[in-house]
Amino acid sequence: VPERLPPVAEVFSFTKMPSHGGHVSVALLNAGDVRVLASLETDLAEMNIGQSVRLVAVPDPPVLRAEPL
Amino acid sequence: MSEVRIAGAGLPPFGKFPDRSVVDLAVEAIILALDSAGIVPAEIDAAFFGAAGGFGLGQRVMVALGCGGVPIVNTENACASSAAAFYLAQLGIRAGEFRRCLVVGAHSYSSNPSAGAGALASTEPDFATGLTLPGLYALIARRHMSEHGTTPRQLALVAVKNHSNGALNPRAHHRGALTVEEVLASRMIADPLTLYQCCARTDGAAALVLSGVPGDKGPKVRSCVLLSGAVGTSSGSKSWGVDLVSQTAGTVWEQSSVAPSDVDVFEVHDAFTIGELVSYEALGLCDEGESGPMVERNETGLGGAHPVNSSGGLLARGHPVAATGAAMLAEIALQLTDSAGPHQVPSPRLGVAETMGGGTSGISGNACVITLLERGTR
Repeated sequence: VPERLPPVAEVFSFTKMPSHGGHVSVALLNAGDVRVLASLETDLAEMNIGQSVRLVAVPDPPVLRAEPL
Repeated sequence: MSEVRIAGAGLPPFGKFPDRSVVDLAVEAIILALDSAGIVPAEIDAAFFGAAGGFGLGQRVMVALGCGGVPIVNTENACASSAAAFYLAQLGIRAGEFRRCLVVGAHSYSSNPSAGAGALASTEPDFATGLTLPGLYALIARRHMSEHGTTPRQLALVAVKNHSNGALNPRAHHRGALTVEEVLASRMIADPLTLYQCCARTDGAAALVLSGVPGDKGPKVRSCVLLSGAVGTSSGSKSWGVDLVSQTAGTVWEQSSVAPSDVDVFEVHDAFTIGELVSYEALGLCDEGESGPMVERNETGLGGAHPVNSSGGLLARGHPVAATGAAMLAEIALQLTDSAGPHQVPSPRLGVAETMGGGTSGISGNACVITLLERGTR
């Protein structure tokens, strides 16, 4: 996780989209004073706007992943 | 500074035209616009093109027209490409640099499937997460639903309204009416947005003749503002792009001393249903969070107090990305000259076209262009 980002962020919104024959989910997060996009591997039914998530840096591809606390 | 008028508008039907090139589409629109203005190509001082994909669209079109020796500018600003071309052309006339300009937008997904919207560019940082443009708008939709209680039915009503309008518009790509049930039962594209809540990949072109020549008639450009988003995205309460549309609209209202409630007909950027709802709020047609109830009351339907996307909008008329801005402006010009057709709004005096371009990470909108037009003598 980049140094400028806190380890925990708040879910601003999320969605699930078809991608390459499967589906991908992403979450838009308020992380400190910036908004970042992160991939999501959680069932959307378990997600809520405003909930806190942990930010994890994934190297390949280089994205942030949001994990429920 | 010169007064600027839309002296002619060319808006051929949109659709899927696999046997026609983007140049063919543009030439047809230009001929209609020149004919509508009652002028010949030699009376054009400069040409501004909205283009997405490939080099030199404007030059290729002008060669096909046999019209050379004037400045040709190609602009790319995603969905706002030809609206940005319009912005530049009217600035050129106001500055006294040109007397009459062509503004053209043309796009063919059939002949160039990779050009334009659909997915973010693979070089964009957000692309790595799998985010698509429908996904970007889905994030706005889910936030709006959570924050303001907007319902799936209210989102679907935008598609129902615009397809109902498109069914009346002979220039629309999709001319079939839809029910709320059909919209909600269509395939999920980006949760909560279903297929019929997403614009189509349409082929089409639109052209306008802008004039600063005294005596030329047509709708007057009261205000035309282009703003681009701030770099970086702060973690405020607003979704992507909403602030940008709001700021652009605020500048238009301030410049013109017109209130949103004074405007008789709007074309707004409904690439996805939620895009139209947040546009109501950003333009000032209703308070924040009130757009869902507003569409439910049909205030923005053809017979409502503030008709929005009487053409069918991007959802039904279609969204040939580089042509959309010019098409919106042509539609408003047709409305203000009582020439729109079966979807004509009764005698509008003021009309607004709002176009939003996106798809770049780290900025809250490539460009938003909002133009206020006023009925002229004809």
